[in-house]
Amino acid sequence: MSEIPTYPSLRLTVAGAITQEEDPLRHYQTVIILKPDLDEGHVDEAVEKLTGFLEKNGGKSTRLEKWGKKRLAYRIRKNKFGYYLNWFHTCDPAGIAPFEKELQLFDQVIKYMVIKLEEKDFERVLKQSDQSEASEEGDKEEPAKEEAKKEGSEADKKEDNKEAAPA
Amino acid sequence: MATGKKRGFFTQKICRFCAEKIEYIDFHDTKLLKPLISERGKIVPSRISGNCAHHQRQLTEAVKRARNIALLPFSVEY
Repeated sequence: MSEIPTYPSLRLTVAGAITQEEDPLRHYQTVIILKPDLDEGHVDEAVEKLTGFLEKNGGKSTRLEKWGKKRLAYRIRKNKFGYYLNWFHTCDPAGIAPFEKELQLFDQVIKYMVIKLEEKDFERVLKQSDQSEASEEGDKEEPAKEEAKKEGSEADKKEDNKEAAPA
Repeated sequence: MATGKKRGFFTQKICRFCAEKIEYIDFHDTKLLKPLISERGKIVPSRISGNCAHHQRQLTEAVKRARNIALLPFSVEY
């Protein structure tokens, strides 16, 4: 009586169904806006939590870009600025809904957007990321020069003011 | 004007994306999108900007995504 009946044919179909579900791991792009008053450390903490959410729902991060603090085009939850994160990841299609739910409930996220990427889009993203990494190395020297120029121009202005004041 | 037709700021009648050979319009590339948006924040129609249908379709999608994530405004009030 205690023996459990086995149905080989049924098992096969069940196993087939599971493999079909596991196969399509889609690529997604998610843009997340965090609160503007977070430090670098807090941002990293938030990112860790977000990756936790993703991995819980059967996803894997492929590339994370930090766009940094930007001015928002309109106010979101009374914030005028936001810290942007751009995230390319894979995810189980069934896990996207709970993942979005958790983004909504996470209090440091003020807005998010999840986009489904087609295969060709993902290939383009990979190409772009390779190019940007190559160009970033070349760009590093330029901002320092600009700052130097600004300081120079400010100093000039001050001198002008001094000359103008006694007259 | 001799033709009698009004021509505004956009006299160029060639698709700028075809000219620059841009295959895909990214929604976060606001420098690219800004000139194709009116002062009020509306999308400029292709009959004025001169974009081809293929790129105009991509543009609308890019602008709508950019609006959603607050890179571009939905509307600008005076």
